[in-house]
Amino acid sequence: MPTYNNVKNATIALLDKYSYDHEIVGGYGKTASNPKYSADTKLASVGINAYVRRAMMKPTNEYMREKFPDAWRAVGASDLVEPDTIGAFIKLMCACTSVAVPNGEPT
Amino acid sequence: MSHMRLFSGLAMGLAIPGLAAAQATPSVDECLKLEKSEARLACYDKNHNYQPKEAPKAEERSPIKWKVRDSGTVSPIGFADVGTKPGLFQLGRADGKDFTTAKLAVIAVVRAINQPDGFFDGWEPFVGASWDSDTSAKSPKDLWQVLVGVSGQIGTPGPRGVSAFPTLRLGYKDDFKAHTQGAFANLHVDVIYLPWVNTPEVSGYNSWALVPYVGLYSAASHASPETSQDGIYTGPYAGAKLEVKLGAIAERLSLMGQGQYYRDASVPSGVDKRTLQFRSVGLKYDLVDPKAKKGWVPSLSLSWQSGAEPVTGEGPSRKTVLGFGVKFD
Repeated sequence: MPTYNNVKNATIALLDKYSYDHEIVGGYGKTASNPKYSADTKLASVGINAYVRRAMMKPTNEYMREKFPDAWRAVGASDLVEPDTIGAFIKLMCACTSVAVPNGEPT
Repeated sequence: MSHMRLFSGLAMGLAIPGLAAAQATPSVDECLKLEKSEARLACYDKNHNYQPKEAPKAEERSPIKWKVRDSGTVSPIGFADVGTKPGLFQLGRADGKDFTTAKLAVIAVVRAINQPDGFFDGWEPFVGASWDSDTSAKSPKDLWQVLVGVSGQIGTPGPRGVSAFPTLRLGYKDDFKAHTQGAFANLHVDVIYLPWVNTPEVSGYNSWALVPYVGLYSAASHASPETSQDGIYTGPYAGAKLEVKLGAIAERLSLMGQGQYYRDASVPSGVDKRTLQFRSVGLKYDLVDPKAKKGWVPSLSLSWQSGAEPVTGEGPSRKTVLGFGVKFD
C-alpha cells in the first residue's frame, strides 16, 4: 500500500514532465513562505490545461501503474480534465490509489 | 444523629458531582504539576476539551458522473472534455427572421475501464440523451437522441508528442417536427499534438489550442434534414477546431472557430452524393470562473455559422445567434 507522500511525489514528478518549461519538482514548496509551485498552482498556468490533461490519460495510467502496480485503478480522460490545480490533481491520484489524504494536505 | 448522617450524606452527594467535574476538566495548574510530558499533554487536551479529528479515509470514486452539455456528441469537434460545450439556449436571426434554439444533453460517464496493460485501459463508456430544438424557418427541428458510446486514447504521447482520441457512438434519433427517424453510428477521432495545445494560460496573456479531427458518420433513413430519400448515408469528414482564450482582453472570454468538410461515400441509389461544408466563429464569456468551482457554469455567447454539419445536425443555413449556456459538472 503506497503512502500519501509516495503518491504526492510521483504526481509532482509526472506533472513536471508534462509542464511547459517549468521545473516543478525543484520549485515545489520552496521557499516555504512563498513557494514557486504549491497545491494552489493552477495547472493551466504551467502549460497543463484541459487538452494536455486529456492527452495525459495513457501516460498517467502507465506511469502510476508502474509505480503502484497493486494499488492503481485506471483514471479516465474526463476525470483528468476536472482538477485545475496541482492539489486537486494530487487528490485525484490518491483516489485512484485508494490512499487517504491526510488532514491539512495537499500543501 | 440520624439528621447529622443525612446531612453529611447529602453533602457527599453534592460534593461527588463537583469532584467528578473537577476531574473531567483539570485546571492548567493541575496539568503543570504532572511530570510526564504525555500525561501533561493529555491533561491540556482535557483542559481545552480537545476533540481529535477522525482519521481521513481514502476517497471513494463515484461509478458514474453526470454531465449537462449541448449535445450527446463526445468531443466531436475538438473539445477536451466529454462535450465541453455548454447546454445552449439561443436567440438568433437568419434570413431576416427571429428564431430560438435549445440544445441540451444529459450524459452519464461510467468509471474508466481498468485493464492493466490493456488496449482499453482508461477508456470511458457513456450513455446519453439529448434534445435539439430550432424554430427557424429553414432548418426547423425538434430532435431527440439516445446514444451509447466509448471514448479513449491510442498512443502514449511524450510532453511534445501526438496521440489520437477515438470516440465511437451508436444511437437513435427522432425528429418530431421533420417526422424523420433512424439509427446512426459515428467514429470520431480527435488528434492532439501537444505543442498545438499547451500554451500556458497566464493572466493577462492569450492562449490557444488547435485540434484537428477526422471521422466517419453513417445515418439511416433521412435522419438529417438535407437528405432527400430514405436509405443509409455514410461518409468521412475532417475538420479542425480552434479555441483562443483571450486573457489579454478579459479573463473568461474565449473565441472559438471551426471548419469542417464532409463528403458522402455511400448514398441510396438514385441520390447524388453530397459535399457539406461548415464554418463557425463565436465568442463566449463565462459568467462565473468555471475553473474555480464545480456545479453549474452559465455563459453568454455570440456566434455566426454557415453551412451544414451532419454529425451534430447543424444547418443548413447562415445564422447569427446570441446564446445563454449552462454547463454542469
